[in-house]
Amino acid sequence: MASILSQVLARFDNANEPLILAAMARDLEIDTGTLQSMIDYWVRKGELRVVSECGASCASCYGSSGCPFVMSMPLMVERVRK
Amino acid sequence: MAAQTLTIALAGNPNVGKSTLFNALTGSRQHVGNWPGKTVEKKEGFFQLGGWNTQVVDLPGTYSLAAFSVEERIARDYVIQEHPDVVVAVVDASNLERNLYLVTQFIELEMPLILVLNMSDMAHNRGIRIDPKQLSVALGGTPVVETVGSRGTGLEALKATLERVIKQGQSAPAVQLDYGEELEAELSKLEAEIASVGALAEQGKPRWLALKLLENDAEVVAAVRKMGCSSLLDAASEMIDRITESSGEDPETLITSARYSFVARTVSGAVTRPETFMRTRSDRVDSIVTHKIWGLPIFLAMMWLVFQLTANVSAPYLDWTDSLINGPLARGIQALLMLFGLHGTWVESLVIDGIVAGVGGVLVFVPVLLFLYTAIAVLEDSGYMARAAFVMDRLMRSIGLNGKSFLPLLIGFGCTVPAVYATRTLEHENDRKLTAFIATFMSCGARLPVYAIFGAAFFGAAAGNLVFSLYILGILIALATGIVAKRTIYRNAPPQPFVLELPPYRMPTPRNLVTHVWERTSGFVRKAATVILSCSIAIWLLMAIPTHAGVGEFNAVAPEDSLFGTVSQVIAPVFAPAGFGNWQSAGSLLTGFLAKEVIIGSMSQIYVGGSEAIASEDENLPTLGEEISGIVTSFAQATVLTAQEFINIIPRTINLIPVFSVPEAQFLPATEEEEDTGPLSQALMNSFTPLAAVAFNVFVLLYVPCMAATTAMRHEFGTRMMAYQLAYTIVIAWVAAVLVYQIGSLLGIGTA
Ligand SMILES: Nc1nc2c(ncn2[C@@H]2O[C@H](COP(=O)(O)OP(=O)(O)OP(=O)(O)O)[C@@H](O)[C@H]2O)c(=O)[nH]1
Repeated sequence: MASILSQVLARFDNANEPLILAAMARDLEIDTGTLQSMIDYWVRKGELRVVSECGASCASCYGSSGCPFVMSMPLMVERVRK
Repeated sequence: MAAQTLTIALAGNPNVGKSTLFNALTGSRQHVGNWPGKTVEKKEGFFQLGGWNTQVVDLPGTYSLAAFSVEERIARDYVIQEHPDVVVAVVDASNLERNLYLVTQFIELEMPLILVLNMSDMAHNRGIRIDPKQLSVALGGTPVVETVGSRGTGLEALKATLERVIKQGQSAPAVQLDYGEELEAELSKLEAEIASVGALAEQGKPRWLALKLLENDAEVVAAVRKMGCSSLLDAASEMIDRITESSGEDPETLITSARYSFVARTVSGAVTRPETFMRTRSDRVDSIVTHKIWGLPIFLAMMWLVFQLTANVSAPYLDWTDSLINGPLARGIQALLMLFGLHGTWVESLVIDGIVAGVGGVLVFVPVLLFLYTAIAVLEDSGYMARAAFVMDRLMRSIGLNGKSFLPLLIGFGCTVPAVYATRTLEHENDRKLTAFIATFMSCGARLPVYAIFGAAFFGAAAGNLVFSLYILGILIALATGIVAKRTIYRNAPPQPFVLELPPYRMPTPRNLVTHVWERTSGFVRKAATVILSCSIAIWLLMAIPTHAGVGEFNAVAPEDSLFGTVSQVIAPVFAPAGFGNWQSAGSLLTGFLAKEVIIGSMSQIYVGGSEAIASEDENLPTLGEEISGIVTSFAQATVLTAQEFINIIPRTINLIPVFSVPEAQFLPATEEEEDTGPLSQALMNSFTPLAAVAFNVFVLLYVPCMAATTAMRHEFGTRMMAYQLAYTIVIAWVAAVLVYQIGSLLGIGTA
C-alpha cells in the first residue's frame, strides 16, 4: 500500500472537484493539522503549490494602502501539473 | 556532585507554551541573546534541580528537525552538537497528532526524552482524553507529564520527573520507528558501512546517519562529503534509486510517512477523542452550506439578502443624503457664492450645475455603498465567502471553467480593476485572459448607484429585486461567455482540482467590519473627489459650449444645442430599439466610460442641473438653525424607516411565494405627500418607461468596462485583448438591452 504521504497526493490527482481540507483529513483519518504538515511536505517537494493572492500590483489605484476591494481568501492548494 | 551542571533543552512546535514553561522553571535567572550568527532569539536560564545546577535552553519552535528553516537547523544542530542531558519535548495536548511528529525525530536521534503534555486544560475542554501511561509505553517508556503552563500546574511533577530521570541515568526511548521491510534492509546495510568508517562511527547514531543519507538530507550529505566519504554517498544514492525504482516512492517520502504512521498508531492507542471532535458544528454547517444541491440556492439567497439590504434598507438614508446635498449643502454653497458676488456668473453655474450636481449626485449614494460593503464584509469576516468560493467553483467547473476564476470574479463585485489583476493567481494564460474578460460583467460597486436611482424611481420597494436580477444577469452573461469561449477559442487542459481550507466560522468583529467598510467607502468618496470631479467639470464645459451660431453663447445655451447635446444626439438613435433613444441617455452613457458613477453625475447635471432644486434669491431661505434641525429630524426619520425596511425584509421575502401575503411593518404614519421623490427621479420617470429603464440598466451593467478597468486590461493582456473586450461588451450590452425592451414590449410589460 502506498505511504500516507502518497495517498495524500493521490487524493489531489484523483479528485474531480475541489476538496475541503477538513473533509479530506477526516477521510484519511488524520488531524487537519497533520494533513496541513503533509501538504507542506509536498509543497516543499514541488508537487503541490499554494495558490497565492493577487499580489502587490493591486496597490496601483488606491495608493500604498493597497486595493480595498481585494478579499483575503482561504488557503488553497493545488497539484503542480508536470 | 553539587557542582555538576546539567543541560536540558526545551523543544516543541511554535506556540505550545515553551516560553511559559521556561519562565516558570527559571524565574529571573535567564539570559536572552541570539543564536550565534542568527537573528533567532536564544533563551538560556538556570534553576536548581535537586543538587544540580541545571541549565535550560529554549530551542526555537519548529514542526520538524528537517533543517529546512533556520529554526529547524538551529534546533537540530544544538541537539546533535551540544548533547543536552535531556530533551523536554513540549507538546500541545489539544493538538497531539501534529505535535508528535517532532517527537519522532528525537526518538530517531535516540535522545533521552521527557514528554510534556502542555495545554492539557484545552485538551480537556475539548473532550480529548489522553492516557499518559499508554502514551509513555507507545513512546518506549518516555516519561509523560501533564502541565498547564499558564497556571503553573504540573511544574513540580515535571521537576520530579527530571530528577528521577537524571538519577536513573538518562536513557533514550526504547522504541524504534519501523520504516518497512525494504527500507529497513537497506538501512542496516548502510549502518554497517557507516560503522566501518572510523570517523563516522565515532559520532555515534549510525542509524540516524543512515536515515539522513537515505532521506538525502542536504546538510548531512554535505558534512559526510566534507569528511571524504564519497563511497558511502555513492552507496546511499544507489540505494535511493533502488528503493525508488521498486516502491515507486522515494525514501524521503517513505521515511516521512513512517513517522506519520508511528504517530497515528501512538495516538490511536492513547487518545480518545469525542465524536464531535471529528465532526464539529462548523463541519455540519459546512456540509449544508457547501452541499451539492443546496449550496447554490443558499448562495443566491445570501445575495438576495445583500441586495435587499443594499437597495431597500438603505433607501431612507439615500433620501436623506439626497436632501442634504441638494438642499442645505447646495443652498449654503450658493449663499457663499453670492457673498462673493458671483451670483449669476458662469462660476456659479460651474459650481452648482457642474460640481454640486455631478459630484454631489454621486456622493448621494454613499449610504447605498455603506450598506453593500457592510453586507459583503459580514460575509467575508464570518467565513461565508470561502464557502461561496467553494460552491461557485463546483458550478464553474461543471461547465468547464476554471473554478479558481471565482476568486477574481468575486473581487469584481467590488471593483473590476483588482479583479483583472487578481487573475494572476491562475496558472494558464488562457484562463487568465478569459477570467479578466468576463470579470467586467460582474457588477462593480460603481454601477450600483445607477441601479439604485432607477430602482427607487420605478420600482419602489421592489428595487432590491431589480438590483438582484441585474447582478444575476451579469453572472449569467459572464458564465455564458466563458462557456462559449471555452468550447471555441480557449480550449486547454481541464481545471486543476484543489484543496481549500475553510476557515472556522466566527462572529465578525466590529473593528474588522468598520475597517473594511471604511476603506472601501472612502475609496468611493476619494474617487468622487478626483475622477468624478474632473468629469463633472468637463461635462459642464461641454454642456456650456454651443455648437453653432444663433443657438446661444457660452454658458447660455440649451443643453441639446451644446457640444455635449449635439454629439449625444448623433448617437442617440442607436439606442432607440432599446427604448432609450433620447440624447440624455446616450450622453450619460458616453460619459460612463470614464467611470460608471459618472452616468448618474451626468444625468443629474443634464436633468436637474442643481439650480432648480435651489430656491432663488428672493424666496425665504431657511435659517441655519432650521437647516440643522431639519437635517437632524430627517436623519432620525431615516433611521426609523431603515429599521422598518430591515424588518420588512422578512415579510417581503415570504411574500415572494405567491400564496402568502404577510403585512409589512409601518413605523411612521404614511404622510399624504409621501412621494416627494427627488428631482432626478422625477425627471427619469418623465423620460423613461419602466421597461426602458430596465433596458437602460441592463445596458449599463454590460457595456464597456470603465477606463481604469480597460487600462488594467491593456496592461495585463495587451491592446488587442482590450479592443476585443470593448467591442464584445458593447455588442452584448446592446443586444441584451434591445431584447429586454422588444420582448417586454411584445408582452406589454412596463410600457407605460
Ligand atoms: N490554555 C493554556 N494556555 C497556555 C498554556 N501554556 C501556555 N499557554 C499560553 O499559550 C500562549 C503561547 O505560549 P508561549 O509560551 O509564548 O509559547 P511558545 O511555545 O514559547 O511560543 P514560541 O516561542 O512562538 O514557539 C501564551 O499566551 C500562553 O499564556 C496552557 O497550558 N494552557
